[in-house]
Amino acid sequence: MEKTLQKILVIEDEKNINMTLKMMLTKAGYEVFLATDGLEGLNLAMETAPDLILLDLILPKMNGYLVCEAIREKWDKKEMPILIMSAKTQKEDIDKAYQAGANTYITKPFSKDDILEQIKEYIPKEA
Amino acid sequence: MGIKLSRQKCIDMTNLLKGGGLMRKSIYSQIMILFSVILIIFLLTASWSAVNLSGIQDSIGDIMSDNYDSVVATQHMIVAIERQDSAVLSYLFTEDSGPLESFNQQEVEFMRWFSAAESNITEPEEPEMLEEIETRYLQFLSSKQNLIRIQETQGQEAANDYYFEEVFPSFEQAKDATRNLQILNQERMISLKETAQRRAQNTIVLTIVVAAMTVMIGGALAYRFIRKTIEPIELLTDKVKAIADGDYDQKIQVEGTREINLLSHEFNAMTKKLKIYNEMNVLRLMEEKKKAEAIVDSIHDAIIVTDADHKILLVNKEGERIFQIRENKVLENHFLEAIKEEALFEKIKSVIREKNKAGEEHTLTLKRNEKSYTYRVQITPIYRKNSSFIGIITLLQDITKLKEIDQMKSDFISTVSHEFRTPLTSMGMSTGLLLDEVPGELTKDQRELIEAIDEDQNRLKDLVSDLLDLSRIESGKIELSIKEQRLEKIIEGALKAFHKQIEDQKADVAVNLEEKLPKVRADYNKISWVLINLIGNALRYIPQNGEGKIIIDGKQVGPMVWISVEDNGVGIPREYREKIFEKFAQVKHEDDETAGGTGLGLAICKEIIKAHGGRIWVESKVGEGSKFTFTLSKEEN
Repeated sequence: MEKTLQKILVIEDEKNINMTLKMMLTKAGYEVFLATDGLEGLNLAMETAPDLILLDLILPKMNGYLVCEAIREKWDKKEMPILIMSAKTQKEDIDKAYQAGANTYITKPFSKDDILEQIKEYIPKEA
Repeated sequence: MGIKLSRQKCIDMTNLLKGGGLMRKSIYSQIMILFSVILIIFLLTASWSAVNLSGIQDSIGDIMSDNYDSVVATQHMIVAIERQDSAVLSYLFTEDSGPLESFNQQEVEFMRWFSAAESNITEPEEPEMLEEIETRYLQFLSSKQNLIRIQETQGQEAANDYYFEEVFPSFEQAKDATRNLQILNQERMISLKETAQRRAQNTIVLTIVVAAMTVMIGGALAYRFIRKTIEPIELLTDKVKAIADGDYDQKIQVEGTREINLLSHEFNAMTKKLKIYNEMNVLRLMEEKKKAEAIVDSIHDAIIVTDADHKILLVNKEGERIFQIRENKVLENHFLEAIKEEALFEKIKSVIREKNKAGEEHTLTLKRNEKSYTYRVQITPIYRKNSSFIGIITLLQDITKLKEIDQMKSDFISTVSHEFRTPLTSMGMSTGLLLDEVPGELTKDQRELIEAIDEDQNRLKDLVSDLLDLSRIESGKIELSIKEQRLEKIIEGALKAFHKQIEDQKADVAVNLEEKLPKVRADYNKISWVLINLIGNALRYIPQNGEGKIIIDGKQVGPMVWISVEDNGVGIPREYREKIFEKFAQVKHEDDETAGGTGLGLAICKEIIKAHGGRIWVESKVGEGSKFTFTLSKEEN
């Protein structure tokens, strides 16, 4: 039963967001992995092969764009959707993220419902 | 002052001319004197000529009367004596008494003419000659008597001899004597004629000489007079001309008639006054000019004034500084020659071409010392009262600092709101989790407190997102993707967002679009945003008891489509109608605190509509409602 849970990897250096996301997503019935820098996130993605990744752009060690590109080397958009969550709202940043292989782009601040809706869109709950 | 001065000048001139009346009179009398003198000279010449001519006539008369009488007398005497001689001869040959009678008649004739000659002695030799004639004639008479006697006594032969020996010679002698007298008188006549001719010639020469002298003297007098009269007038003319040219140091020193002296005296007095006036005016003008120049120079904005041909008329200190030119070196030069800023020149030209462009503001970036400066450019054409075009004032205001501050402000807002975003995300999710009681059940008080936090963090979230939108729009980073859109579609989409709220408030929302309303040129998302804002505002202010009414209206006005959102809300007091489009402006109602919102919505609406090339405004009546209208360009046909 536990094994059937969908895996979501959160790569985010802001510990408050990490904490709340983990609580929220766990409550929503996902298995959550947390990484606080880009490199750790990439390693964790390789290790765990999550169903979906929530990725911040500004990260220590390795930025979000690079992480995204690196993951796209192995998995395509369908195999592993990547949702960017960023405070950056400039069009060029958004374009760059899509070029790096992001599925969608959510600007901070977002609400609990915003993020859950988006996740559901990419990985519908198995019946 | 200049006009006043010239009027003063005019008055002085008329006074001068009035004084000239006196002068004219004097000149008139001078002319009269001059002509009288010339007339007298002519009269003298004429009478002198007349005297001369009458002298000639007298001489001719003398010749006619005296000498001529003598000549006539002698001729008659000669005829008479010749006839007597013939009578003697015919007596000698015919021995008739007839010829002797004729002889006696001729004797009478001779004596008559002899006495006539005797009574007309003109020459000193004449008496002697007359005596000679008398003697010879008497001899002739006595010889004739002798002849008659001889013929009677001694016969024809002796008479013939006697005639040739005595009578004929005596006749010849008497005749010669008479002829001598005739010759004397004839010669005298010739000499008198010559004298008369000489006199006549002399008279002609003298008349010519006198006439020439008269002409010369008259001419000289006239010339002297004219010079004397005209010289001061010419001098005066020169001086007046010099004064007209602005040289007030004119003084006349004329030695002339009393009137001219008076005139020059008045003239000098006038110039003195004029000079004082002028100096006063010049000083005042200089002062005014200096003042004006000081003002223009002290203005911190660059000012360039050009005429209709783009020639430079003025550059102030700041203008000299920013274009690195000197006013005195570029005056009268063409704008582009002095200031090599084609973009600026094009703007100036466009203002001249299209009057309505005047007053439009432009920005211009100039590079100086490897640094960029931004200027707000204001181009104002100058027209005369009769609307003829004189030139252009170009004003450049350095807004580099302002721009920098503006940029700093935008950067600050952007940074701050950015830094807010991440914490707001976790806050929002945290309150959401707490309210969903994920960590555990909440007491009523706990829930209330968390709800308060949640509400405020939502407000902060809106503010941050509006601030970011606005700073992005203001910094010109707004990117519009303008397409032709159906207005009803945008309105529909916007209303969808309020579906639940409208239902809750039981508000009456009507959409009235004109039939065949053209499509509008708009960025769908941005105009949706504007409509959402306007509808949201309306919903916020209308009565919440089910009597609230909102009318969304669309109509074509010329090349634009007007879209309005009208409500029956509380209305906006007059003093706020402009202000509400400014940042953080909110209407404070007496009974109500602000109805929420960030105070940025309308400012953003305005920026968005402006970026579309439209306008937005509000009409309102307090207590009755407000009507917000904005315009968009219609589709191109």
